[in-house]
Amino acid sequence: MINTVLSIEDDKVTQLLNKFHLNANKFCTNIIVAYNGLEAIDFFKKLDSGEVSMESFPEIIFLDLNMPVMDGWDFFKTFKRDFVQFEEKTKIFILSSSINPADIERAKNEKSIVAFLDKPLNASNLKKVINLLGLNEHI
Amino acid sequence: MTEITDFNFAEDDFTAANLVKLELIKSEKELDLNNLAELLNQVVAKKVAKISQEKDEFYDKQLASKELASKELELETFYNQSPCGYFSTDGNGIITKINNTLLVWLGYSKEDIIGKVTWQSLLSVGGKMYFETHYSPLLQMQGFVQEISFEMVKKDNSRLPILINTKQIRDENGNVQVNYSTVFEVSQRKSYENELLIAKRTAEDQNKLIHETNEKLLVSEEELKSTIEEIERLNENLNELVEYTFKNASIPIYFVSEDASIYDFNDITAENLGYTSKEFHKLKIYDLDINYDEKKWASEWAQLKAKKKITIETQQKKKDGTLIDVIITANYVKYGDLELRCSFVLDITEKKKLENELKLIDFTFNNSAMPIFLVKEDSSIYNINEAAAKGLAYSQEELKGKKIIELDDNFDEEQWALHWADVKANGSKTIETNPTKKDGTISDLIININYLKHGDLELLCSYAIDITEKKKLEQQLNLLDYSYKHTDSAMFFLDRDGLYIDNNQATANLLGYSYEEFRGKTAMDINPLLTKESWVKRWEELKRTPYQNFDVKLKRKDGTFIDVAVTTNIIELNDKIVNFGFYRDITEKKKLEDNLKLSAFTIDNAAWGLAYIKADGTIHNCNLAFAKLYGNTSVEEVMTKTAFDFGSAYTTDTWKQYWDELKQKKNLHYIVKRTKKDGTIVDMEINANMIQFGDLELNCVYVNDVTEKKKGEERLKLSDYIIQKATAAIYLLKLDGSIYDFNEAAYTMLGYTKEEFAMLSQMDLDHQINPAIIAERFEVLRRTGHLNFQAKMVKKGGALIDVEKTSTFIVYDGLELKCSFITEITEIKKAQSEIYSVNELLQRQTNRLLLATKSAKLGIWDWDLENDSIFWDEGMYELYGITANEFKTLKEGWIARLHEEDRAKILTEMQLNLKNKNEFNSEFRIVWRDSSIRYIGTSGFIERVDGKAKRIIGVSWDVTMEKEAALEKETLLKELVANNLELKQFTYITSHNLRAPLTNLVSICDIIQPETGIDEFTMQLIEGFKTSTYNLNETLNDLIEVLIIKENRSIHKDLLTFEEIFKKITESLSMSLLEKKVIINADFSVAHSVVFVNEYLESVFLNLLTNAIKYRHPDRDPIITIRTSREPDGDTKLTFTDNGIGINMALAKDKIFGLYKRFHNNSDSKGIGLYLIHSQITTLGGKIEVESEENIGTTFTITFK
Repeated sequence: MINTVLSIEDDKVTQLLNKFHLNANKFCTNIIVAYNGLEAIDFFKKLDSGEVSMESFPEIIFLDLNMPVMDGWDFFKTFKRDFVQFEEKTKIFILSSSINPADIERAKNEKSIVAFLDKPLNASNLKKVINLLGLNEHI
Repeated sequence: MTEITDFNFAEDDFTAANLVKLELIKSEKELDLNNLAELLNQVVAKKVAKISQEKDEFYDKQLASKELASKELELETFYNQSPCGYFSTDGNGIITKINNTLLVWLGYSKEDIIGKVTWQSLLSVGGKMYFETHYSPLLQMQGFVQEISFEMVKKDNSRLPILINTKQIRDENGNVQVNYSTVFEVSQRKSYENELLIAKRTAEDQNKLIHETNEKLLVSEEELKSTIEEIERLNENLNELVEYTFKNASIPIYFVSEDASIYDFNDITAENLGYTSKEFHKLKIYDLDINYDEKKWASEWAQLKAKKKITIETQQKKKDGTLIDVIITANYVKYGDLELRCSFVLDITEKKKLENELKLIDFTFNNSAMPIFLVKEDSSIYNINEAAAKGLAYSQEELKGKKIIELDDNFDEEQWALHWADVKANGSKTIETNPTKKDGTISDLIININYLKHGDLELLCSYAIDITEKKKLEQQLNLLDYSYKHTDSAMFFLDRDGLYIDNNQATANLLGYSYEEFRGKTAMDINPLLTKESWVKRWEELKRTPYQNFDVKLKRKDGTFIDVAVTTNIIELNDKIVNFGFYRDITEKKKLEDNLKLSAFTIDNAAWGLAYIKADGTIHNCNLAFAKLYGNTSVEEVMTKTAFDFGSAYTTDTWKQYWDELKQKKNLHYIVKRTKKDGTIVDMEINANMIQFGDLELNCVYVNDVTEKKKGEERLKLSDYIIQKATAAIYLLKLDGSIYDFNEAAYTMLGYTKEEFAMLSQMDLDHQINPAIIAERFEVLRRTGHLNFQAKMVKKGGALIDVEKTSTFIVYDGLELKCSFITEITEIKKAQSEIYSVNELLQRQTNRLLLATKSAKLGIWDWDLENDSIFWDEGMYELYGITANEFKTLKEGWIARLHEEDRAKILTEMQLNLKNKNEFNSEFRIVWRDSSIRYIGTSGFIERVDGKAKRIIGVSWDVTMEKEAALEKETLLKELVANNLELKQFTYITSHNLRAPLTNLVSICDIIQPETGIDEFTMQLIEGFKTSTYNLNETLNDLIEVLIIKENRSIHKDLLTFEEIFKKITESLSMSLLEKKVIINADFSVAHSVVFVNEYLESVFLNLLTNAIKYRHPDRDPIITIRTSREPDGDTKLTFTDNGIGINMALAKDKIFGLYKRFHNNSDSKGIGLYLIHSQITTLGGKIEVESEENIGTTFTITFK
């Protein structure tokens, strides 16, 4: 069972639905929500400083690409640069409705990104995540 | 001074109150007063003294202060001019005082510095740091610093290296009052220091090097040691070998000590000199060599020691006293302390002998009077002696290496090879040959040739005997013999007995015998008057007076007698006295004498001039005709003259030549010019005969005046020659038109042979005339003398030629003739017209070219590289917008017009092409005077002579329009690409922004499961909301799909089986198929697979099947037939046929596969399916076609590439 999932997504409805699907599929126990990249970065900063307990460290990040303030790719860049110690401990999935081939290609080439998922985060997508992480037994 | 009142200045003890008292005690105190006065005096004196002293002191002080002032000035000067710098700073480091020296060094003025800057601000960056870290703390601590090194920055920013000493002055509270600093300039020292540093480094480097070398040396030493060991070992081996060699050597080797004693020797040494080893040991060098005494030995020893090796040619004495010639190679050897001469002896006795022999041979060879050649196989001369060389007039050196085949015409290479083989086979050979001397004359040689083999050298040794002289003699002899034998003069030899010991053929002939028959005849046999006795008598008489002439009658074989004149003599021939003589037949002479008498009369009266001229040119006799011919009146008149008077051509010499020639030929016939008495020159035909009249030789001359005849003949000859050789055809026609005469040119011109032409008449040459015309023309000609006109003539084959005719009327020998000169003008005409047409063509072409270049706006240029001159045609001037004479030279103009940015490039490019290309093509910009930019294209050929570029010629044209168009196109393209990219991005964003909320909607729709209890309408609304959401999602996805297909990326083709795809799709549609009772007839047997993109093929099946279901006919169950087939060109075809409602093709024709084209009011229709599969198929190069009829059905045909 996955403990914590970080969902980075600016759209509140999507966040709501993500939560619904995660809960409905009993995917994880804890969902942390960030409405843009910067919020997520702040969260990691708090983790780093100990302000937030490492118990809340997200094993999985669902990352939207098109976001205000700090978009998905900028977050990814910053995260990789500033939190090397966290990079290996978490699995990043892009969750986007982008059809831009450049995005898809880039996601493929970044080794810290496990997969590019097409929205919504429904049961089939979550199944895919489980399969990719080799966590089959939990479903 | 005694008045008390005067005491107002006195001491205070003298007050006014005391004055009374003083009055009272005046008397008693008189003395005291005096004393007081005294005292006062003393006080005053003291005061005065003091004042005086003070005054003195003041003056002294004044003096001192003056001194002080001058001292101060000196100090000031010293301070400012001191060879070191001074400055003072306050507690904050601000410079308060500075001397001139330092100011000068730094290049500042006092005003720049004092009170304005801190001294550390004058330091270099490094200096400032040092100031902070060292100088300042040190000063703080010690109160002074000494010899701190800084670099100060001068006003001009250059550096001043200094040493500084600073003393700090503080007040009692420890506050800094002032810092005094002294500055020394150390530039010089710095450079010394640098030098020192460098020197130190160099020394260090050298040291290191020495160290390394030492190490290397150590290693080398070890190597050396091992090498020495190796050498020693080798040496031992060598020693053994030497020892062995020495003892067993085949040449004598012996060692001699400095004292001339034999130290060691090998067996052969003793043996050769006839000693035993034991005996030899005791010998000294003097015993071996008689040439040696102690003195010579000593000097030779010294020489040997110096040179280490000498070669001596000497004689050694054997035990038995005989001497042998030897060459001794003496080597100086040092063996420990022992010095020895090691002598290798070479016995050269045999060699000497040989040498001597050789010398002799050589001497003989060289001094032999007989020419000797040594010749190699290739016929080159190996050696040749002086005589041989002389014989050929060459020097010996010149001949060495020359080839016989070059020298001797009798030999070529082939013959020489044969000759060589012949001599080699036979050993020797004798030939006669004729080599060419240097001067080109040919000598006769008899050559005795011997084959020699000398080592590997094969030679032919030839001894030559020059027989040129002998040959000459022989030839002379032969000639004599021949003349003797064949002469017409009868010659004979008689001996003392009257016997004919020899005679020639003529003698026998004279006497009617054959040569053989005459043999053995005696003088008595042919002269009946002679007896043996009278013969002897005559012999004796002849001996006394040797030379006798007489006439005698001799008896011939046939018994007749002939008169002969005898010339006889006694001579010595081959030690024998013989009578040599010859007979001359004088029978005829006698006859002649008789005849002459008869003919004299005839001659005298002949019409021909006749004269007898003697050898000296005088006239012996002549007839009257001769006299008259030369303009004389009588024979007597002529008799006083000589031949020289008639022929101016004769001199004594030429007369003699003429006489000799006549004598030889007996008769001469010629025509000459002679001068008559009156000076007129006439042509005389002369027939000269040499006659013997008794003893008198006479030239009998017949003379005839041929002046007129000759003139005519010559003229005729000339004319004939001219006519025959003339290149113009000439013929003579008679009145009747027949040809009378003609020349070569006439018949060749008309293609006839000479014989054929002679048979022709004028009618054959000109078909347009007839006898009437001929006669008419003749008449005209007779009147006018000549005619000149052009006409056509007929050649042999019938062809016509144009001729120019000049006819002349002549009368020859009473015959009227028309003489025609004909010149052919056909060729000329032709050539003329050709030249005309070529000219015209050229003109036309030139015009065309001009027109073409003009209309093409071409410019032609021609650059003579040798003279660096450029020619431009009009077009070039127009292209460059240059007027003639605008620039000094065209080149200058051209370069000036070139666009600045292109100029260097174009010139380099041209230089490069000139080096190694044959053409020059380029495009560049030029700037017109109005600063408009034009693009010029140019193309030229480079002409080369011996690889060097001499000329470039080419064309240029304006490509501005094309260039601008291309540029515009490029810009448009760029814009287009950018727009496209932007649009694409826009699409991505749009689709994303649409998809994101839509996905949420879909998600929500998926999740919402309306509870029962919600009212019906709300239920319906929710259902409607769901349907719309799903439809929207589907449409968007389809659109995105199209977008992705259009992107045409990551297409992965596979070999796909139609059956499998079909199954997969029908399974997914099974519910619908069942519901709509669809019947599908699928047959993929003809072509069961295709290479295609899996998703696309699925999409094709899905869309076409769903379409077929969607647009099924309401009146019947849908039947779908699917077939595959293979096209002849290998393409695969897939057909979908349905029995649906069909499409109105007239309306839909071109829109069926368009985006969002719907042809039915069907709610399910999105109008995107066909567009999608059309995109999928065409993207991969295939095609999709449709045939349809309303209410019948539709067939889609897909062709896969």
